[in-house]
Amino acid sequence: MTDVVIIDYNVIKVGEHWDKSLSDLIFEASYPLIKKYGNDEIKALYIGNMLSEFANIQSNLGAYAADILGLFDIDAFHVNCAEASSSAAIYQAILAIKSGRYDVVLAGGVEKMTDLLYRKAIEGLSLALNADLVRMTGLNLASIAGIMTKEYIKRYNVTKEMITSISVQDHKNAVNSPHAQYKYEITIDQAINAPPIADPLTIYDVTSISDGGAFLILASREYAEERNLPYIEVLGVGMAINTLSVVDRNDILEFKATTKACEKALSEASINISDIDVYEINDDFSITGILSLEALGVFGKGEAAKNVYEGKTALTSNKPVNTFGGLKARGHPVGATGAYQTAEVCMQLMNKAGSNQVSNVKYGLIQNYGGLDSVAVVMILGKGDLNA
Amino acid sequence: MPEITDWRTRIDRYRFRGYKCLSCGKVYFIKRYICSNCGSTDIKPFDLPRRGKVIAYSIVRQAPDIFKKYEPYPIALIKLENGKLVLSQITDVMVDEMKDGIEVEATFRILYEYGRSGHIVYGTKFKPIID
Repeated sequence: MTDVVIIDYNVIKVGEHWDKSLSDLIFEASYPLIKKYGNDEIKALYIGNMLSEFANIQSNLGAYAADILGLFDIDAFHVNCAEASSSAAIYQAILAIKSGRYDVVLAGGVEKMTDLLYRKAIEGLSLALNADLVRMTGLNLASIAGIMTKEYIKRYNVTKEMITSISVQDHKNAVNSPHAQYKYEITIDQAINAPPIADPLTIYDVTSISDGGAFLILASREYAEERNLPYIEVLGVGMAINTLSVVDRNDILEFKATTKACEKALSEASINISDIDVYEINDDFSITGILSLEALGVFGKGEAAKNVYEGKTALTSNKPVNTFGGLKARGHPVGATGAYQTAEVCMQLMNKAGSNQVSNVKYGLIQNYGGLDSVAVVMILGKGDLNA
Repeated sequence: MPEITDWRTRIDRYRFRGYKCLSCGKVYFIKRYICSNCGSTDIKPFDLPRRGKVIAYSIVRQAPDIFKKYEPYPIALIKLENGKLVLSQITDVMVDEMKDGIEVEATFRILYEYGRSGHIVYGTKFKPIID
């Protein structure tokens, strides 16, 4: 099968872009790449998006994006796997190149959330859970994350501060992250004493509402080598699913989809989790970041919160996590998040991470899930040929 | 939202039903077609126990529109008398009186009403047991 590489990426700053529409975000996030590589080279487009039918009253985003970009000779697909939409779109692009169908593909995601009132956005996001369960109970994602947080504290005898420390770390890493939404540090006291969102969670335990777009150019290795283009290698990718209803899982603190997807990706890459030099993980809530680290096998069960609190995942540690601010501080424009994470790992591997650069990065991992781990994608990238 | 969706789930909501795999006995809160434990399709609805204990609760402070008038309200993970975990809204309690570990029982309540048609959707919430 064809080897797949990433030759370029483009991200726009995550934020509340009141002056930009869904189509503006698609154009700004992807047009620089099309201009650089040429309309004729790109054979397919995979666009991830979760909420456009709810937030922007627009479906059919494959053709919609192709139309905006003037790409009338390509195949175009709208991929929706909730908050994992853009990593799933990238996964589809990888499969398509591997199959030999296309040489060059544009893949990524876009999300325009701020056209919704805050309450409506929360409602839209909760639809990634089982909608019958949501309407039977009135729950939202944050209330389940709140319950998980309490259960974790009780089971493993850790403090809330330890769990919330992942948000403090995210904010610290975002200060020098050019595309982050919240470029300021917070203290643990500030985070703990902030207004409640879903007890015991405060506003600093949860992600907020963001607009954003990120795209990558993926290609076959032959294509990149023939043209002397520097590239990052896609070493492994895995996807897995889990029940939508958290209470129908054997353990509410287990992210089984993430675990399975990670095992597939590591096995394809023929490396171990301890070989990874940089992690971009799905911390849509502080507790889910902690549970993700455990599901990936970075730390044992009940160990992640303590380790994050002790600085074992800081930028300067040997397990740097969310080096550009993660979902909390870079921002979580849901259907674009996986593409941001992938671009960020590319920045680290290409030594383009500026003052957030981690030294000697050989392997990077991306973990992105939708609907509290009902669908998860894990990708492993490696330093390819950067000297072309 | 299409109102017919709620009509189809009315019996599960009114009676507080779960689903049981008749082959291996695994119990589900939400309707399933194939047992994730044994693969059987022999799954039937049954009435869940109406008493349980709050394992952990959270407070919803930004509810979906249809639940807005009840907020802030508790959502709890409840362990029923048969050991099955379910999620439910807790009613008849002030949020600052809510506690983990309290005993609760099922009660038939209005869940929400549709603005335009006035259609009322009933279902099950849980309330603290007061001896």
